Amino acid sequence: MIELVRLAILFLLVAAAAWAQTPSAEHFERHVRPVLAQRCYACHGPDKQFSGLRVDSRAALFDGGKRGAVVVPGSPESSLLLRAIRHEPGLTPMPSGAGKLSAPEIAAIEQWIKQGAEWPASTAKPTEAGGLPAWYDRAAKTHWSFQPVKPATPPPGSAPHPVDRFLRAALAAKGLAPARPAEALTVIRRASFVLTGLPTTPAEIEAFTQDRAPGAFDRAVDRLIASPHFGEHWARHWMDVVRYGETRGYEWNYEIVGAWRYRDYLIRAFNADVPYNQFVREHIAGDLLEKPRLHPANGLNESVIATAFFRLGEAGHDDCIKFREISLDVVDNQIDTLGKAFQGLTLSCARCHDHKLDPIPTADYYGLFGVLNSSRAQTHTIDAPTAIPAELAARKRAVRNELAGAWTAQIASLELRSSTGKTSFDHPLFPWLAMRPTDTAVFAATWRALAARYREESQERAQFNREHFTPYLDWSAWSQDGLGLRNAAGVARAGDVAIATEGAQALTAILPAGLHTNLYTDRWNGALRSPLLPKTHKYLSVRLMGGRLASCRTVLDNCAIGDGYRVLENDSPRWHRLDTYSREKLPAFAEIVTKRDNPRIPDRPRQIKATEAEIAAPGSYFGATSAVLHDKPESPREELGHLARLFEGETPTSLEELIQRYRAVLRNAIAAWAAGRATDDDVRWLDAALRAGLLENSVGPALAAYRELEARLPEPRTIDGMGDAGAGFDTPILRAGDPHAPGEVTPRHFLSRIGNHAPALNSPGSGRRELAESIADPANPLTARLMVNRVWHHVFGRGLVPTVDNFGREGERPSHPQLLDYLATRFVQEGWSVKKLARLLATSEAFRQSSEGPAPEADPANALLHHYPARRLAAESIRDSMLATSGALNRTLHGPSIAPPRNEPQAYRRLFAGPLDGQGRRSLYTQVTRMEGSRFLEIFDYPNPMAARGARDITNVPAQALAMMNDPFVHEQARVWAERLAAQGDAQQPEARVDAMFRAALGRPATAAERARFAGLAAELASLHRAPVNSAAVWKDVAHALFNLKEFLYLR
Amino acid sequence: MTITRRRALQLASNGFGWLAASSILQGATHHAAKAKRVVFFFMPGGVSHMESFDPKPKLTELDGKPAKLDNYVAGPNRKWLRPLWEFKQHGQCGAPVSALFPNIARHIDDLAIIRSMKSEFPLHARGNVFLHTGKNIGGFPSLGSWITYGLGTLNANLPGYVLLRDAHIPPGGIENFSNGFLPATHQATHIRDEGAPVDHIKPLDTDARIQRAKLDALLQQDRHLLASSGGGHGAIESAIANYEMAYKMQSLVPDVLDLAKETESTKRMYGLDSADKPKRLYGLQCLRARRLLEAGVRFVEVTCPNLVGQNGTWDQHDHLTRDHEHNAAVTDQAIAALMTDLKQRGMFDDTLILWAAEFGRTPDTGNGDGRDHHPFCFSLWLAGGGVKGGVTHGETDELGDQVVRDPVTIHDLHATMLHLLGLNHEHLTYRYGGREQRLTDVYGNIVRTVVA
Repeated sequence: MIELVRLAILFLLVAAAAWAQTPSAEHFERHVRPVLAQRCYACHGPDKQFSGLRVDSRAALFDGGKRGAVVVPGSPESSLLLRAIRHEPGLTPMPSGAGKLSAPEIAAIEQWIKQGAEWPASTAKPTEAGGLPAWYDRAAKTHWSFQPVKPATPPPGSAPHPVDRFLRAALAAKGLAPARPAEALTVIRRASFVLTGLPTTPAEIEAFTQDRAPGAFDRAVDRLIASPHFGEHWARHWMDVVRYGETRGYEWNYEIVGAWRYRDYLIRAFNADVPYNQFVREHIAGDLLEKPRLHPANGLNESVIATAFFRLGEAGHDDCIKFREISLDVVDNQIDTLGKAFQGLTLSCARCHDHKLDPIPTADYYGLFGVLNSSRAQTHTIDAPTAIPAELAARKRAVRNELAGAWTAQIASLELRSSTGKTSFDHPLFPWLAMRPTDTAVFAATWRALAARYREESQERAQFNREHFTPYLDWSAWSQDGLGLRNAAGVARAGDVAIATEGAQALTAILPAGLHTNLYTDRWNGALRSPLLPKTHKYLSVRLMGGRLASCRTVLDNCAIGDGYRVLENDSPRWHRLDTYSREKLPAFAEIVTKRDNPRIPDRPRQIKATEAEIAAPGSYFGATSAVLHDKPESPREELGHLARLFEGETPTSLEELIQRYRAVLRNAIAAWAAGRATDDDVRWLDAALRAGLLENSVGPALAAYRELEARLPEPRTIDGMGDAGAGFDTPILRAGDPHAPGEVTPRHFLSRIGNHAPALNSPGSGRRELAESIADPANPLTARLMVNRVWHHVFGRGLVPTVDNFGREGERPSHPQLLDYLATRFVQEGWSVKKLARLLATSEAFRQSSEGPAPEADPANALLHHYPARRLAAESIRDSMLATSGALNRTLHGPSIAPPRNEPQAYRRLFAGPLDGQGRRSLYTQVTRMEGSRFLEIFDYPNPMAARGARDITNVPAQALAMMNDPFVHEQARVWAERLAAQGDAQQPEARVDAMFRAALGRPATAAERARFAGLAAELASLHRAPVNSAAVWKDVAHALFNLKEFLYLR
Repeated sequence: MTITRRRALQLASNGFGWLAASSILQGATHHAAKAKRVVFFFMPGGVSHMESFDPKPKLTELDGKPAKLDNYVAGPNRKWLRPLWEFKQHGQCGAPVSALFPNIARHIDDLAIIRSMKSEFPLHARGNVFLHTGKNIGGFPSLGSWITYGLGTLNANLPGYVLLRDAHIPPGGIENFSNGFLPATHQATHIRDEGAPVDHIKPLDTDARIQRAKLDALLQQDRHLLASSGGGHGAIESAIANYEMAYKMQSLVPDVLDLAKETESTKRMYGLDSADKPKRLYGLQCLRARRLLEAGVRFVEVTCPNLVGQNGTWDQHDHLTRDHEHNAAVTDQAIAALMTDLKQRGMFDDTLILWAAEFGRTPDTGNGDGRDHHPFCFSLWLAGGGVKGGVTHGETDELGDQVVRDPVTIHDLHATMLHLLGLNHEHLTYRYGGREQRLTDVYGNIVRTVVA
């Protein structure tokens, strides 16, 4: 103890000396750590600790082994470590059974101890190529899950079902036998929960018990698998694996755009039995598939939705330059989830050092990091490719024609007017305003002076723009998403108009040539994203217009909800300057988006001026005309060419002549516009005239017809997912995970030691497409095994490999390796069909055996399945069962989530309160909010969505009993059930009612003793309530008691 | 040996009490403990260190002059801001405390102040989660969870880790108080200051006999199921036992929270007579804290009443004068009262007390009456079991910007607290995600100066 204290004090001194990276730290890293690692770790490292000694960390070294501390800083002579490697007498010479260290190596360690044995923290660095631990190759060649799947045939035996043959052979080897078959009603209830998460319906029990032909149970399984509730239940299983959440946690708990659409995608995918390899592809690269899978009815792009998988984790909103860890942690969470979900590997252990247990070099981590860093966190529009509605286009043309007629009629008598004083040439009325007070006597002279000023300024502006700006790529090089931009829907010619979808005005704007999301309707969305910005210039300026919470920003390092976007509030084009972050090596792109494509909206309080109603309302729009790069902070100046037509020709000699000139200019512009050959210069005139109120802009019959149709357009559907744009790039290894210590650049690749061996992921974009194939490859030794095991886990309560998310060396080994490989082979052969697999398992005799009987000593954990494992239902099934039993279950599929009930909603953190019964919907429709989730579900081990979790804890604590006894939801459902029973009339005798309730709650009739027990309870309750025995109050309490039965809460 | 037993119990989450699994470990410390329970006064948002326990007269001199700090908020408009409250020396040790905390100052000779705390991020969510779990991202067990996991319970009928809170969850959310990968029994049980204090503890039945009648019938039915099954249903057996425990807890927990047995003078000492509602509620939570500690709860944490839309009670980027003043008024009296109360009951010497925020505040300001987040140095204090009173550890520069002597990290703080509780932070481990996880990760040095 005193020794320890002394050492601890010593540490403090050493540590204090080591705050800065010192020469001795460098000495340690170059000359000492490598020697320890290569020569000592094998026996005194993470895997083995001979004599209880580890030498792979400061703490371990100084704690020492059985003989105490082996290093005494500053005192080489009393350091056992040094004496042992010097082969001094009385000590086992080290390294044991291997060659002595070289003299320079020993000297280096001696020097290190003499200098105080500094062990710098957090400099654990990845090994460079070639320096990987020797056991990596061994592990890659020998660890079971890294070897190819070996097709297996069921062992001989009398059981007809292949799964039973494997299981029975293993049982027989231990002298064990399976349990007797369980009762038919127990098994059908079991099958119903396992396959659909819901209790058996009376109809299903009826169908099952009436079916006397052989194979009745298999047919019941088929019905359950065909039920749409199958997809719901298996979607929820998968949501655990992908740490599904609908808000981002952290400080402000931003909502994840459209997360619930991913949940619906899962339901559809499991119900449609989408092949698992396709499912994998969609998750990893659904946006890059040559043939995306479209929803058969509504054309939704299913494949793209799946990429939301990457975006469901926690994320912070802060500045990603100041806090690099924010984006690194997001990617780390993506790698962690990807690794666990699809490969059963803890890839993110290799973030700071080579993986200690599995052959995963840090280079593999950063090979994958490059793939994800090259991908783009973006909000996708998932609607079917939408044609421009012809009728809407026609009605829009009618509006335009109506206006063209009105304007042409107006022009002869047009009066100039202006509500505000214009003080610069930026407004076409400025020359008129400037000349208005001028005497006719000096009119011409004054005009000539003004014209000279105009020409000077016009040239100045043009010259400034020529000198300081480099045109950036044209729009075709930008990615264009959203209904308003896709399929060239947003390509506007000069003079196209944007119609106001509400209010007294007809037009929002007369548009310059460019891309405009609102060419047909404000309701359509748009997202215009640049390629990765060049680092050659400090700024990108984009000439933009827009409103209703459209915005522009630079996204740096995929910081999707990072600080900084500018809301567009201008209906005439204006230059907006964006930073390219040229000083940072980090990737950046510019993004101009409508409201639903901005993952920061709804924003936290005091960030934007908008009410919840404005945020919720449909409609948002922007337009973009051009983009330039530059270094000086000033954006381009608006050029003045359009005014030339005013200053050209004969000098006007009076204000009246000038007004005539204006009329002529406008008449020409209107004529050009009406004829469909307007130029941008015409547009500037017309738009200015419109805004000055010179031209008619009010609602006519054509506009009403347009608006009537427009209001019926569906809103676009968006979801946060992953995209790709342009060439991918490789990233450096970060030493010890430190963003400020970049090392060697690693080419993008997948696992170099496991499976297919480092498939390069480099063409032509991020590499996600190839990554998806590498994982979906039938030759990948992990993919099929992992999924088969997940399904087994859910059917039998325990995986053949119990560590369902870890197939690495730290995970457990399979209890039935041949069975696992048999199933994996069959799974692939049968088209990666989850339904066929689930059916295969559920129709085995093992699934139908009893859960009862003592646990034999030969297998106390029931790894060999000598009986079916009884277990508590999952949180969702408990809640859903109460709804189903009470009759309140709303079996609607899909749709936006429902906030969980809360006593303390916190709207500013997007924690809203929902109805107590969640509208009767199944629990998977309860919104999954980070920061604070559903309290009822969490009591029953509903997972906290921070990391992949394919197997939930199953705890058994009094808090669960308290919830079932006292939660208002439980009481409410008991009441609903009782009222429904009461509505069936008073005639029913208590015992008959008990029987009916048993059938509803437990899927079986009540025995005579049970009928008597609960009828007795009813009688007792009647006296306590001082109410007739048939009153709803009495039966509410009986119902409540039944909800609390272990038979109700447990699967047997 | 200890580790083996702990490992064996990791999976045994069936329980008869809140902490059944680990309760067997009671007394299984690594070395003699100086404290056996903890109360943590969490000050979310970040208390200004130069206006609490680390006086900086230099700032008074520089007040209003352009500030030139090289940190994440650096900019042309930053100005030094003088400490807005006076400091006075207190007690025999003569340690200075600002006028914000006159009551805590009365206990100064029992406090060990650390002025050289360092955290890693000037961000609330990360700072809070780091202070609680030693990690700056979610998913890891909180200090209170580690301690109840390590020490087990003193009263199996009560939760081991209790959080006394208001309606608002601080940044980082539930992750701050989560059991992470430890068994669920180690998560914080939340006791709210208004409304029903604990979920599900109050029977909804109008008559206690109704609940008992239901329980009798259903447990009879359950036992019949169990008896007829012939084994294999151990989980059901535990669940039945949990119902009996839950039934008892319905009266036990309210009894612990019931203030009827407290004298009026005790209530006044905690500020329960205050006209200020937040102060009243905070006093209530502190008095409950004492009762919970007395009843055998291992780790009690008290958060501060928050202001809607703010990122933590003490997060005064503006209105520093008004809101720090108010927050101090809300908390100071009740914290001091709890310390006095523990002393009077002979519990002070084996109760470890921590007062801490996730970080301090900047010595400069961007708007005149506010300070920003400052993780580069800040102050906290420990007191009670095993803590050397009257000590000030560490030193910051004259501006209160950086630590210049004896830096202490959050890991060091955790290591020290575990040490006082008889736990070796390097040996308190749990196997998860492929490695032996520790509260202190691979770091942590015990701060010997503050150990008595």
